Amino acid sequence: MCPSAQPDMEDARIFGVVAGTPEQPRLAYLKQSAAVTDEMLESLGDLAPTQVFRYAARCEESRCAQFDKGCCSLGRRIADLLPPVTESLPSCQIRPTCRWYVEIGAAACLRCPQVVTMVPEGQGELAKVALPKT
Amino acid sequence: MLEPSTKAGLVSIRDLPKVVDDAVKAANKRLGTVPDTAPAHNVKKWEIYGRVIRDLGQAGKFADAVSAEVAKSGIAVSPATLIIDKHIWCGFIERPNIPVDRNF
Repeated sequence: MCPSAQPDMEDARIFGVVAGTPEQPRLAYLKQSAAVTDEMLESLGDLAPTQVFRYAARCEESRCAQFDKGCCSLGRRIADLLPPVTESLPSCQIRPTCRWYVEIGAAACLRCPQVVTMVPEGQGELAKVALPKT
Repeated sequence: MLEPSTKAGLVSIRDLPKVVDDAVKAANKRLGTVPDTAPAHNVKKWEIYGRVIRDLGQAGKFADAVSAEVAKSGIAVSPATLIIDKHIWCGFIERPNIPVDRNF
């Protein structure tokens, strides 16, 4: 599964909430029993759902700009360029099927909590990492 | 480089509403957007995805059929038909965007 997906992708599901502070977003991972309700989604107003939630969905592989040489280049760049932000593997529902974990391993998980799928302007390092090479 | 110093948060169903509320506030601040603090007396942000159709008798069937197809992709939608002037709009509305009844 893609751990930085859009809500309209196939098999999309929410696995975390973008908590932390405005300056330093940090993903809070949902326990198995914690389901996001329609009322919570309504509370977003005009915010994109990806600014508040992290979605996982079926990897689109070659249909995604991040897919390169059979792997997710985004996960690779995150592991290479961003610092770890947690000292142990997050308790994550999607790890067994997560493309980043499968391809990169724990190095991706230790950096994953700082990832916001739609990177706003001003989040310099994140924005740099998010863009695939042209 | 930041040193890892904490464990990632884990959200229980009990804490989830507050965590989402805080996340919405943080996202609005991060993006510089204005949260919706207006009294909830109007319908906003709703769109019907579908078609303009001439036959009202077919509109409901079309809305049901297209909604069922979209739902197979895991997207939560509701069938919708709306008549404005001489136009019949039918299709679906994504569930988070369904207008809510309000007292004006």
